[in-house]
Amino acid sequence: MSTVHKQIAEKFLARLAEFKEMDAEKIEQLRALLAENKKVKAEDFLKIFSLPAGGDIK
Amino acid sequence: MIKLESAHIEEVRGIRSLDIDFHKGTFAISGPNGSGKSGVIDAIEFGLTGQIGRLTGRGTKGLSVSEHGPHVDKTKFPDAAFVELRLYLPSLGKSATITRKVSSPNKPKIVPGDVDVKAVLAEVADHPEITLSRREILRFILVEPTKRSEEIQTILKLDDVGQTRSALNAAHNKLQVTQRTGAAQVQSTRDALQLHLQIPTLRAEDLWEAVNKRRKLLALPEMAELTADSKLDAGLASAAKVPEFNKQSALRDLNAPERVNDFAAPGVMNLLCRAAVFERSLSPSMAG
Repeated sequence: MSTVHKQIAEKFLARLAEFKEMDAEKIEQLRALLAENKKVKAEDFLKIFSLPAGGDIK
Repeated sequence: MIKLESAHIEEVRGIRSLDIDFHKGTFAISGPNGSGKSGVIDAIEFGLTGQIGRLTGRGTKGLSVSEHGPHVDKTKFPDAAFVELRLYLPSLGKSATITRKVSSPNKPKIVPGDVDVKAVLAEVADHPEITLSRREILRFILVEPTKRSEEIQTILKLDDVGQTRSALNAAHNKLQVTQRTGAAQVQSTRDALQLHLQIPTLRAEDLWEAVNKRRKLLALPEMAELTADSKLDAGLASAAKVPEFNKQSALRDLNAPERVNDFAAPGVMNLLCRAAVFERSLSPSMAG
């Protein structure tokens, strides 16, 4: 990963971490995915951001 | 920054065997067309990064380092193709040798194997933008102005940024559609459930009370607790069973309106007669 690419990725992840709704585990998964140095596909992101099935009864 | 002391190139691109002494200086390579000038650059790039920029990117589909990195006579023997670079690392004040084979581009042999030396070389390997080919320079000059920024991305080997951005946008759009569809489905299901159970909210207590009330009516055991996975009609064996069609019952239902008509007809006639009498009784007073 080039330096600029790395910097953009770090800034993106830092911005994501500012959101309270964002799960820290998801950010780490995202960091690992971006660091893999492979061509990332939309499906890779979908896997991370798709919630497990469940209800909303409080 | 690193400085090249010397290079030994063997069976890489168009080069069979070549030793060059760079003396840690700035150097230029010249020669007639096809003499292997670009091959030297490719070999140095490969030695440092494990990649060959000219074999990747736009217009290079089907090209790979493993197949097109070795000399044409050694494509079946990529083990014979390797580059050995003697480097000087000014930041560490050390010299090191890195040897990289085409057969295993990601496993270079580094001597000395000091941690700091390996760290510097790993950082270099992460920066394929260290080389700029003539093709890339020409493409940048000839590209139309609106696509120049894309070309700069390509030159700086930042294509991946654009690719990652596109993938993120595609994922964002897909998730947005899924979220909208899901939200609408959840809302309609919630509304239907509230309507059927006649409860003001979907709080667990309200739902639990309403469900148990109905389960009690149906002589089903009450639910101890309500979770997201609870099946409200659990124990109701025929919940999903469609009642069988009863022909006799259906025929009785079809005849029913006629019987109602027979029964209601005299009453209706009687009502109409009384209305007519009432109307007539009103007429004189209205005329007066």
